[in-house]
Amino acid sequence: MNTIRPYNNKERKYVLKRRISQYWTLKKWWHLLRESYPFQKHSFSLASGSILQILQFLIWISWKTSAVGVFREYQENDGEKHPVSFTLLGSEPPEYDEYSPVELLLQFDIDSILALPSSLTIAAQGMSINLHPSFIQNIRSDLHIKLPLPSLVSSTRSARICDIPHFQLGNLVGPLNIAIYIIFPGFYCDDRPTNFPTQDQLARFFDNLFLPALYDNASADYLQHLPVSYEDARLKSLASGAEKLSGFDSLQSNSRIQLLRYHLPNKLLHDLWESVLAKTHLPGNHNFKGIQIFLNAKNMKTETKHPTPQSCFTDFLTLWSQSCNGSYLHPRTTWIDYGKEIVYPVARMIRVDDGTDDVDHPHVHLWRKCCLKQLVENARKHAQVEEGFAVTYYHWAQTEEAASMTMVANKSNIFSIGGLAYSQYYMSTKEMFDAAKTYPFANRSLEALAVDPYLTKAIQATGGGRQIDLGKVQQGYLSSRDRTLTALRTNAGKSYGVREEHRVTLDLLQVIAKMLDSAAARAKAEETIHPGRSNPFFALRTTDVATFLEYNTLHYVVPFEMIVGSTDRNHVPWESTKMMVMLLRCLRSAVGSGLLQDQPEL
Amino acid sequence: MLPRRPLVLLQHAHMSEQFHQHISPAVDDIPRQRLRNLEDPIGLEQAEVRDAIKKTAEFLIKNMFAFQGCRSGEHYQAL
Repeated sequence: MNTIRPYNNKERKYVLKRRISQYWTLKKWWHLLRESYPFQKHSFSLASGSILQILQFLIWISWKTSAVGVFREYQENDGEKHPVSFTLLGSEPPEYDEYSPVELLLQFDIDSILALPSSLTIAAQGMSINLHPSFIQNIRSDLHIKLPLPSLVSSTRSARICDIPHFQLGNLVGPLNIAIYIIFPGFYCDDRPTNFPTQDQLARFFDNLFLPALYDNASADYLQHLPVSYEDARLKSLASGAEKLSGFDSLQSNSRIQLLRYHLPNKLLHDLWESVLAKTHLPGNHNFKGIQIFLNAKNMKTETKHPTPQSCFTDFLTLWSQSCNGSYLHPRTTWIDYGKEIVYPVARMIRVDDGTDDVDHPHVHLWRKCCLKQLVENARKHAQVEEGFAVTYYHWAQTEEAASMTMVANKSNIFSIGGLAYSQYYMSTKEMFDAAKTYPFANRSLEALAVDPYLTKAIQATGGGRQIDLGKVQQGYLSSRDRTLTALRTNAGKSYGVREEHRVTLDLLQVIAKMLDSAAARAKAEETIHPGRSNPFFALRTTDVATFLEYNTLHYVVPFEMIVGSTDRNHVPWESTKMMVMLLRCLRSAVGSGLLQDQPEL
Repeated sequence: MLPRRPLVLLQHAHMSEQFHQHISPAVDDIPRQRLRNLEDPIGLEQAEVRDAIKKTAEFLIKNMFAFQGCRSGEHYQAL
């Protein structure tokens, strides 16, 4: 069975030489195609092309891929279907080879914090607020935390935080970027199209609760700087975009909404929040009852990274106490993402392909799926349950053996009661393509490029739906393609590690910290890890992985652009549509971890 | 003629008051009560919760610091 595995220097040189020569051949071919056909950066308008040329190309690329050792297989093992697998190596699997002893970087960090504080007074140094909140700041992903809802029928109704109407009120002042949200469980509705409150709900919150509470407690010298109503704040935030349209101010930023922030000092916050809660009991404000503050701090890994868990905790607590007053947090309703990563200790700004010693080359680590399966088994044994976990594997770049994993303990599971919301294991290679959660080729609207425009119009005329601007979709595709290839060509000098993150409650983290204080555990934590066969991850040269990923991307990009270019845009045949949709869906998981199970059509 | 917003607010206040007279107290109590239950899991003694926390912490420490994968060296056969 072909697979991804560590390989020795001799094999590496042979494979690399062969792969690079063939990669350049493919690249040359691709450039020839680009020169022959005008699917340049700004246009898709290929005027002509023949079926014969496409067939020739497909035969050629099939031959090339088999020669280079990139195999596509659909295996059935004991009746179980496996996804399409690729391999970086030739068909002959080499024997294992011990790596040179290199001390890997082992780092611990606190990546994010989520909490349901009991008062705004948690902001130890005050907070900055925005009285005209925007939808784009809302939480969109599942945080694996559910909140209770008011219900007339059942007392066990709850919903995910990302599904309950909320908005970002502002940020805590301090060294960490901590956002404060206001959640309205009383406005929850199953068929609500968005999690952002309506304009009327926001106006009622600010005009009936928040601003009256503020005006009750703040002095006149402070209040002179604040808007008097939601409408006042809204118009002020829109003023720059609406009024500075031309003339001398045209060089200034003309974004439609200006983020106007106001500072709330800590001394005001206690009385302010108590007053807001009291006002929810007044007539007209009853559906604000159950209003909840939610605190969310993300992407703190680079600020809290340390080689030992103890130093990580100490440093984090120092930063945390500068922003937050912990006495307003409950240890069971505060969740902390506690992370660990293992990285190869070499990173450069440029790619190196020469024959320098192996240990000097940057490496990529990839989780082995078989080891992650073993980890789930360990968890089941420890929890003494046969199932007890919802486990999802995300295959990396359409390979079978390298994968990311998310493990969520069921509600009755001892881990869930103990305070583990979920664990996830993933690769940092995603950093190459992640632009604040925007991943290349992830937009489903790209499939509009594959569909006959008359068919699209007919469907929209019959069933409604949003109009799609094909020009923008084309730009989106080209941006994804260019960004992916640029990232792969420019980041091949860096090492990318494997990460594991556990979302745990504060009391569980406190117990972990206490246990790690024992000398034996500390010694175990500080022991160095050497690359080798016993590690639960692959270690491959970054240049090899980048080449593989570029090849994998071109594998779908080239035929897609061939078909787009050779098709009359006014009459797209159904067979071409199917091919293009398939290629676009393959592209989504060509360089990152994807849920292939969600695409049975592939 | 009154502006639009006060009219809407007056109407809403009236409806909410009626709503409140009959059912609002019970509706109000449920989220707070259930939030307290989130803090202290329902139906479990403190000792059970402490035991669960300890077991979870043991598992996380063991697997964060000592997990070596399949350990057999024959990773692929485990698939």
